[in-house]
This record gives sequence, C-alpha cells and structure tokens, in this order.
Amino acid sequence: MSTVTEQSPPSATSSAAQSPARQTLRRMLGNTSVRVGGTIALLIVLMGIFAPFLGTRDPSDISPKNRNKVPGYEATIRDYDGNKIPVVYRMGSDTLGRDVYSRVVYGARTSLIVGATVAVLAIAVGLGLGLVAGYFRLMDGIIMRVMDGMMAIPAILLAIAVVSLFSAGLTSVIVAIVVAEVPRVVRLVRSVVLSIREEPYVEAAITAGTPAPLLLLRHVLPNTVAPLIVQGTFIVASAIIVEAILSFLGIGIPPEVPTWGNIMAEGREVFQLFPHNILYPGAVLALTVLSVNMLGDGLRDTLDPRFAKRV
Amino acid sequence: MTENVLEVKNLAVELPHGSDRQHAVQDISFTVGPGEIVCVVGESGSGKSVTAQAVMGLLPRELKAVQGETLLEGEDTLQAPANRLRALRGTKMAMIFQEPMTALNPVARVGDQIAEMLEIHTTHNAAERRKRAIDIMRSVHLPEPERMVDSYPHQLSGGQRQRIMIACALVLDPALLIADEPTTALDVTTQAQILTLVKEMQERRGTGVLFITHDFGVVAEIADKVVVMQHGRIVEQGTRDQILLNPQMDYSKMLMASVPSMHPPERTPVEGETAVQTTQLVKRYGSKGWFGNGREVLAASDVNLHVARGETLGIVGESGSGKSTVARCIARLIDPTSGEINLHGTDIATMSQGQLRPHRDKVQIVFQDPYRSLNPRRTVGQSMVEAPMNFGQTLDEAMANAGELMQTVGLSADALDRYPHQFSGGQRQRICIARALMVNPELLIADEAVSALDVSVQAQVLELLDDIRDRYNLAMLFITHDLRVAAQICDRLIVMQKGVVVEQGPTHRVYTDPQHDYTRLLLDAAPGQGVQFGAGLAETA
Repeated sequence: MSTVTEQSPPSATSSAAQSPARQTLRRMLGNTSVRVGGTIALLIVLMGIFAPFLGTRDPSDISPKNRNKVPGYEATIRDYDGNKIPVVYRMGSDTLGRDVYSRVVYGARTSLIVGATVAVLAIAVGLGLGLVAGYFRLMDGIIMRVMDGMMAIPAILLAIAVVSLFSAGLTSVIVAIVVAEVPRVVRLVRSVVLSIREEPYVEAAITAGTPAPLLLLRHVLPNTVAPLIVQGTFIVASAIIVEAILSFLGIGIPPEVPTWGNIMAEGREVFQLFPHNILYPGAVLALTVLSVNMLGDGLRDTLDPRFAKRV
Repeated sequence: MTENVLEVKNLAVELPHGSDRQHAVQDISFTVGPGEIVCVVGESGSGKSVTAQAVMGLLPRELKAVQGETLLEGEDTLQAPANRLRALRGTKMAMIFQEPMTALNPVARVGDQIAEMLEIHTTHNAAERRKRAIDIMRSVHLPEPERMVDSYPHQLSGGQRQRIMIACALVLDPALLIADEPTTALDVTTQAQILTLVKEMQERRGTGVLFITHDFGVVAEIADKVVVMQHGRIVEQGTRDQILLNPQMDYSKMLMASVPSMHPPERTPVEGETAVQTTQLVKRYGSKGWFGNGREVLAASDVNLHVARGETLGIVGESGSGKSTVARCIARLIDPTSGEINLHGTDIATMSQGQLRPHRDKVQIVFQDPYRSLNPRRTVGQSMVEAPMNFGQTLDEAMANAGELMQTVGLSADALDRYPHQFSGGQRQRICIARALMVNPELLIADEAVSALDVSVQAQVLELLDDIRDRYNLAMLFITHDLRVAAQICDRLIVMQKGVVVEQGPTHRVYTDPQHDYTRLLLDAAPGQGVQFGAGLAETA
C-alpha cells in the first residue's frame, strides 16, 4: 500500500515500549549469519588474545635442525636453560625451523590489530569528512573531488607508495590501508547525510534554531551508525587481506614478525614440497575474512532498512 | 438480472501472528455487476487494498485467505492455481495502481508494455499488436498515439502515464477492472480527466469496476455503489446516494460529517498586526554559467503576500506551482534568490544562517508527513524541548511547558517519555503542532499538514489548528492542494500556478466568484462538489 499506513496504536506490550535501538539489537542477535560469523570471529579474536596459552612456543624461535618438517613432526629441542623438551610441530615448520602453528596463532594478533585499527581510523576520518561534505555544500565539491582522485588509484598501489615513503612497519601498513579505505567511507557517510538532511525532522531542527554541529551530532550522526557498523566489518576483512598481501609481497610488516602474510611469503619458495606453510595460514586467513564478512552481511540484513522488511 | 462480474462471499484474510488484529479482512461480501462502479472506501488500515489483492490473487505471502470465495464470472479466484490466475489476469480482470511511474517499466517503451499484454494472451503478430496498442491509446485519448507508442514512461506526464496504465488494463477487454487509488498521486485537474476516462471506458465497454479510494469527492463523482470498510469489516454498503447523503451507521455518518465542505463560510476579515510580509519574493532553481547545468526553473516569481496575527492565509495550487517553495523561503529552509521577507520589521531574506538563529523562534513549521517529522531515535519529550532549549530555557522549564502543550493538543503528558513509533499518524501530527508551539511563534506554517491524514483525523487536526490559531493569536500560512480543506480553514487564499500568484482574495470570494481562468479550472476539477456529504439530500450538481 503506498498510502501512509497507520501503525498499531500505542500499546503496553514490552516490545513497543523499547527504544528503536534495543529492538534492532534483538533482531540482530536473532540473525543466523550474525550468530555464525560472530562466533567464528570471536573465536579468532580469543585465539589472538590467548595465544601464549594455546600450546604455542616463541614464534620467532628458529631451529636449523628441524627445517621444513611436515605437520605432526615430533622432535626434541633445547630451551634457553639447556633442558631438552619434546615438541610437536602441529602444522609443520618453515624454512628456518620455526613452528608454523605458533606463528599462525600469534599471527592472528597482527591481522586483527591491523583490521580493527584500520576500521576505526578509516571510519573516524571518513565520518568527519563525510558529514562535512554532505551537510556543507561549499565543502562538498572540494572534498569529493579529492576522494574521487584517491579512488582512481588502486588500493594496493597506493599502499605500496605509502609504505615506501616511510619505513616498513605496522604503523605504515595501517596508514597505507586507511588512506585507501577513507574515500569509500566518505562516500557512504555523505550519501546518508544527503538523504537525511531532507528529512522533515532535520528541517524542524533547523527551524528550531539548532546550531549545525549540534544538529549533525543529534539528528544526522545516529543515522550513519548502522551503515558504518556494516561497512566497518567489510573494512576489517579487506584490511586483513591487504595486510597479508603487502606482507606477502615483502613490503609490509618486517618478516620476523609473525603475520599470516609473512608466513605465506616464507613458504612460497618451498610451496610444492611443503604446502603446509601456505595452506594453514591461508586457511585461517580465509576463515577469518569469511566470518567477518558473514557478520557484516548479517548486520546489513538487520540494520539496513531496505533489508529489514525481509527479515 | 444479469450475472455479476464479481461476487465476493464471506471473504476472510488472516494476518500473521502477533499483528494487532487476527484478520486483515473478515466477512467481506459484495458484488460488482457489469458496467457498475463499486467504490470501496475506508481509512488506511481498513483492508481495502487487501480485498482487491485477494481478488487478483496478489496477496502478499504472509497473508492467507482462510475463508470465503471471490467469484469472477462464477470462477473462484481464491482456489485457482497459479497458471489459471495468470491467464485470468489481463483477460478477465485487470488492475491499475496508484503510482503510475513505478507501475510502468522505466526502460521499456510504453507501446511495448501494452503490446506485452497481447503477446502473452493472444496470437496476434507484432504488426497487429502495435496496431491494437495504438488503437487503445487513441481510445484513452492520448495525443498522437502513433508517435507516443514509442515513448518511454519518463517522457510522459503523470496523467498520461496513468492513461497508459488504463490502456494496458483495458486492451484485452477484461470483465473486471480493479483500480487501487488510481488518482491519489495526481493533481486535481488530471484526476478529473482520469475519472472521466474511467467512467467513459466503463460505460463504453460495460466493464465492472472495483474502485478503491479514500477520497470521498472521487466517490461522489463516479460511484454507483459504495462499500464502507473499517478495521477489516464492511460497515455499510448501498447505492452512492444512500451512503453519501443518508448513511445509517454511526461510523459512516462520522466519516461523511468529516468530509470538508467545498463551500467556505463567509468570514469577517481579520485585522491584526502584520506578522510576515514578502515583497517581490523570487526563487530560482538551477543555474546558468560555468558550473550550472544551463537550466533554470523559476519556482516562485514576484510573490507578494502578508499574513496578519490571528489570520489564516491559504496557498493553493497543483504540484510544481511553487506553494511549498514560498513557505520554505519564509521559513528560510531554502534561500530566496531575491526579494524581501519582512518579519517583525526585520528583513530576513538575506541573513546568514548564523544571523538568522535568534529569529528562528518567530516562524515554526508543521510538515506533511507525520512519520518523518519526528526523529525516530528521540523521545517525544526530547524532540519537544529542542527548540526552547536553543532559546535559553532550562530542561525543567521546557519539559513543564511541553507537558502543558501536550494537553492543549489533546494528548497526555506521559506521552513525552515515549518514542514516535508508538503513536498513530494523527497523534504524531498533534505532537508536531505542539512542538511548533513550544517557542511561542508568531507565524505557523502548515505545509500540507493534513494531507497525509485520514479524513476523520484530518477533521480533528484542522479543528485543532483553528483552535490554537485563535488561542495564541497566531498568523498561519496554510499550504494545501486540497480545495475542500482550504475552504474549511482559510480566511484568505492565494492561488499559485507555475510559480506565479494568479489570484488572491478572501476565501469565500475566490470560491464563489473566481476571477482567473486557472482558479475556475481548479474549482471545476474538484471532485464531488455538488454533494453535501451526510446532508440527507442531493443538491443539483
């Protein structure tokens, strides 16, 4: 029906009395993608946090004697005090005899830190720019032309340029990916602002004499939260991949730091003989990105008003 | 007696669990005879559209017809399998919708869309189909059908698109035409033409028409029989005159009494202090020059108006006439291109947003869509106190005021803690009015403020607006496309066409003795003007 549909009259039921935010939260937690994706993502986060307690060893500990061993290989090594201890290379060892399992588990830390930091920074910068571009028409042209320019450069290329400007390391990798992600956030926020500023309740706030910054904060900003949460998860996924690509190409985080990209780069040369060096970190990387994307898909289905009806 | 085209018997459609009532519609029985126009009227949520969808077999998946039958020339469409329904649609029953733009495929030529009906249901070849399409386009009075057959929908006006829809529906001569609010999205003059067309088609082809509408003017214009629905049940049915002039049930009586009259009472001119005055107000959209798109639209040109305290000035006109532009310029939601807006001795037309802020409390605005006028994330109270707190009131003062105003507009003060989605459209519009009153404005702009409301709610809100105007000695600028509403509430009237004021004067004078051709056209096009709803006797139309 395209006429304005009358909603049910105010009732005393508990669901009607809840604020819209709480209703959304409940709908969100009922979504299968959110549950499955969220659970796997949470497990990987826990894996990163509790890495030392998961039967791992020092991930940079080299053991020339035990290079390129297959998964499940058992050996004895000497610890720092000279005691002999038995170890199992659950996922085999790499060309320097480091334990791939430990490196994969510890590698989750780098990947997740990069993913989360990039998402937070890209959203913070993009949100600010997007709000300004969407609300103040004078700034719109300037900001958006710069963003268009940035989007014309392939993300990886841009990242390589940024990394080569500064020394390779976690910070420059993060900055590099953030720079590439910001334009997409700006576009998203701007589009939301453009549609919300036409809403009568925003116009009512203008006629109420609400100053622009307060108006943006109170009436416009809350509308960007849902799309940004969704976009945020996709940024996390793509940042993890880009970090792995940069590390794989050898221009990201220094090779001694265990990251999934580094482990795979390490295993590249002996891939045909010892595929586990690439398969295990690759599988975990794929699983992480899949779970984060599933989470994002589920969130979009429940948060985006265009999909909300179907759910 | 000839056989009925459509016979609906005891139809009941169940709503999904957890809805506010068990059945969308219940105990629905009525008939449509050949060549008969049956109008189903009712307010939003009364189940009119569900009834039509059930007949067409187009019910949304969540809804299920649990009882009754809908006999289309004796064949029950509720029981018919999908492929039989597909064969029936178009050949025996056809439907036209409210929004002619979205009902047509924007990337297909209109002629092809008409021909598609023939392609599916007949064995004509392409040349014959084209010829039939042109014929039917001619019979719905589209100009130059040979040329227009190759047009795309966006090249046609709203009225022409609706004619194409009607052509699509009638090309196979169905026995039953279902029209779901087909004129609601159209301007009043276009609406009059479409109504004439529907009537002509029905007379010429003997089609039975099931016409769904909420507009009683339209009912008065075309109905043979009227079915009044409320909360999914039929309240009353009978001939047009029985229902419109002499309704028996309380609900129908209330509805008829709520329909505003086309005859404005004579009012004494209000002689108050001038609250707002515009001089040579101009608003131009688009721009020429380097960065412009080279097109310019003059949305308002040389508008001079003034509103006194205690007076209601109406601006009427069709869509695109510039009535809202003028209102939004005065509220400074958009910047006028040139001219003066004199508010209380200050020209606010050229002020910057910063300079304007201290003057914002003088002009408040109530918008058309009550569902979008309140921020859904903030409680009613938070929305209400925003403006007064911008002007220096403390939260406690403002909240106390808000509580009082809620009672003024007929709601209880505890509504302040609730969220907008817990209120009906009419209640929300009351809240919006209360919010506008929070800062004691001098001028209240009502921009189509009652257009989205059901007729009974509309009557109440109009009464409220009239009441608060007197109580607070407000100047009121009332923008509407509905001439009945304007007649009801406005002291003086401005008629706008294509950005230009073509006529102004006291409402009574404009209605009884229109000076400009366009005003006369508008008044003539208003549907059902000869009928005094619920008055007991028909006047001569």
